[in-house]
Amino acid sequence: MRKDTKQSLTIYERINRRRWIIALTIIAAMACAAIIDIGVGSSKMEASSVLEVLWDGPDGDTPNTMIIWAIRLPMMLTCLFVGLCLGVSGLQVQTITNNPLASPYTLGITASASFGAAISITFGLSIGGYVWIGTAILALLFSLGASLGIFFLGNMRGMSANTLVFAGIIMNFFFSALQQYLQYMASAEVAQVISSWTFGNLSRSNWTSVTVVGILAVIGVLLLAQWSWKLTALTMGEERAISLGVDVERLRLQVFVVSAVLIAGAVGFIGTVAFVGLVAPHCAKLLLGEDQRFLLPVSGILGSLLMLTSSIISKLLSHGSMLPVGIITSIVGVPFLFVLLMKSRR
Amino acid sequence: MLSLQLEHIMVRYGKRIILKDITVSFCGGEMVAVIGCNGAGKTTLLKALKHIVKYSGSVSLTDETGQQYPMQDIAYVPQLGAVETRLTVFEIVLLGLVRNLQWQVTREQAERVMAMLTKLGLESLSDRSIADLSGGQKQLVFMAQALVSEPKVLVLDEPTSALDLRHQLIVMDLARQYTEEHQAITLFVVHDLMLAARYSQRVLLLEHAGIRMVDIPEKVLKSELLENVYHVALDVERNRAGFFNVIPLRPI
Repeated sequence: MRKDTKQSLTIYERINRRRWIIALTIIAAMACAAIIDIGVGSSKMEASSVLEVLWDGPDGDTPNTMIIWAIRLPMMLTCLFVGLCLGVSGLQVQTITNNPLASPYTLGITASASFGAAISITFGLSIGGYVWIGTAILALLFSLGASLGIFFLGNMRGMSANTLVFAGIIMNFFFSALQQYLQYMASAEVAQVISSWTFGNLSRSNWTSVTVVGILAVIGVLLLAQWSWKLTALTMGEERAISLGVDVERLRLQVFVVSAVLIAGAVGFIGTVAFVGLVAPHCAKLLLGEDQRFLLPVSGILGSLLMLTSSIISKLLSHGSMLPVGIITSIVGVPFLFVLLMKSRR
Repeated sequence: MLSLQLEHIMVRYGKRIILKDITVSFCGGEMVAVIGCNGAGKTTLLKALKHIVKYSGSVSLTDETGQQYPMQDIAYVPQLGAVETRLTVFEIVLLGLVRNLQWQVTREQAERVMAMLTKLGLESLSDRSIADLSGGQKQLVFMAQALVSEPKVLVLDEPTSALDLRHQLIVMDLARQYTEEHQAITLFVVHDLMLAARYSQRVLLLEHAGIRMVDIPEKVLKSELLENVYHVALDVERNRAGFFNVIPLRPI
């Protein structure tokens, strides 16, 4: 019996070793994508010169220093952190609703953030003289408000996963309709700005967006990480999690609020980005299983990888300018999801 | 000796009363079968013990000195339904220790899980996904999950439903062995009256949200009483091995 126990422990250690290898491979792929993303643009740069400029710091004297440190690096880091926020929040929305189709997008949190941004754009709300700060803050407030609305609507019906999803769908329709109304009533120019905001555009990135989204991503991941085991237990279903002593209602509220802040941080600066929150967690689950200690960070890193890949493609397709990354994530996301569907059916 | 006391337990869903004035106590080393018609409140009673449903009244778990045990010492195994998670068997059993798990699983925790899996003959399945197992294997894994934390009270909701005969006996033997070894209390809901009689020291018969009778199997498994509760004509007899046979004849 002692021998069996030892042998089986080795099996568990082997599973975790395999997970570490996969996680480190994905991190390496993301790092490569990040370097490539910085190098791609109207003036192409080799990876070696990108690394050289990064090594020299913002005070370096190469001609590319200004391009990388003032434009491309903040754009890449915003892209990375937005992907991280969307991947992580997508995973948690799926976990707490126990619904593999749930995502920030399908639950209406993204639509509410869009509506907040649309109000700011329509009425020219600026904070400290900056319109983009007003847009980001209203997007954040609306997505938080919508998330709490979804939560309390769900709570009135006993906070089951189904009612949570249903409340989310109601929110999605409600805010989408309000945004359409705003666009319909606005002048052609304003309607155009709102419309372009909903595409998800990295050209709005700057060091402020890096700082804000980065801080939100790090705090959010650390908060969620402390509930890893409880969230893993929740994948067995609500009743089994409660039977193991998990306060599911409290956990759902905490995770929902953190996810909403992450989503708001992500879409507040660059606009709506679809599919990342849906695809990244599915890929991570397929590769690593359901242990949230691995699933949580890897969902985020895969979200970053998907965003960076989309950013590279968008720059390559538009030859110097930049297609809105939100359009590319959907196009890249579809084959991803299709392959996943085929694999899971097998 | 361990003692579980339920006093004036009442559960309502809106205006509907699901359980009313349940007062009963159980002692260590005892297995109690909870039987009754559909809707009598059997599952609700188990869920109330684990605070899964809201109730009025009190539940207390004490030892002979009167020392109170926390309600976390009650392990509940829900009825086996669809299992959609892809967690491995090892992880499922490990989650039985979820309240004490830190980021890193300790050597002691991992060994405890493996010892439980080995005891139940599940060690060869430890790296398999729970979703790939048969119904009987899944139920054994969830039993292992409940037992790994060494609870004082084991609460099983229809542990044998959807299991073949062999697995029914394996699961119930496991519950009995645990109850005897740890002088724990096991409550199990079961529709099979023969299993109820075979594996219990006492049978709790629920009817219309209340207790109709709680007593040794010989006194509860009387054909007149069961016909009156279940509205089915039936024969109750003992077979050569000494076990009760309850043979339903026709609805009344």
